[in-house]
Amino acid sequence: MPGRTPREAVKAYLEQLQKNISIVSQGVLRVSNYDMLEAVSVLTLLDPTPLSGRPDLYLSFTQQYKIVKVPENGPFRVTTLYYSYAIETQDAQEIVGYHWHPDGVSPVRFPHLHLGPAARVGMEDLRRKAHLPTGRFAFEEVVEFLVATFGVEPDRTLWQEIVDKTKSVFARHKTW
Amino acid sequence: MSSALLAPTQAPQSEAQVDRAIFERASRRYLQMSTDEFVEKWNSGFFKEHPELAHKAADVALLLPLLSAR
Repeated sequence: MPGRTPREAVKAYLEQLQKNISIVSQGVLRVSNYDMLEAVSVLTLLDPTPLSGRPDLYLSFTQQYKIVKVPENGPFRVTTLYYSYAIETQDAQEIVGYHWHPDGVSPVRFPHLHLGPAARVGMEDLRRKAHLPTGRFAFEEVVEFLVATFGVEPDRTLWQEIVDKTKSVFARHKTW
Repeated sequence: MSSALLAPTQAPQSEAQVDRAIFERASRRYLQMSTDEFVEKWNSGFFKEHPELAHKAADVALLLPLLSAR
């Protein structure tokens, strides 16, 4: 997400994601860094948040990002280093989790989906060990999944337009 | 004077305190341990020897930059 200053780039990045969070919950995102280039920084919900119309389900959202200088594009932009989006029960049992951690301690470097214990999948291998490949997953796709699959009630009349718009911005600026 | 005006107010938290509180809540929610205990176990490699906790530990570790950000 480009900006004329580091702060402008972070604000633009945050705004797109907060719009989507606000479609499905009252959750508030927080960023740890607006100014420092190349620092590993955190964008997260203050707390996992109950989903609109499904208070039995909680959304957890965390990204690591950094601000980079790209003179031909921005000149400042925010790049995602890592994401973790999960749907959980109130007592923190994961149902599904979308992860990507290319530089983490795990040997799994590709974007993937976990089926957590609260998904109640019968096969042990799928329940505990499976990293189901997904390709890079935009948070907007999580929003659509929540509405379509879990009956989450979108809190915006024009929610699909917001999702489509921010998804196209994401697609335009993502680097892979 | 109404009692509402006399109600005690919470001292505002610094940005660093808010960040640390987020970390503390996540560590307790997912691993039932304090921030200090998590950091000690993360640094010592404890979670590599406890694969049943590794997944949740990795998620909490995502938040580690909060402890040094401000």
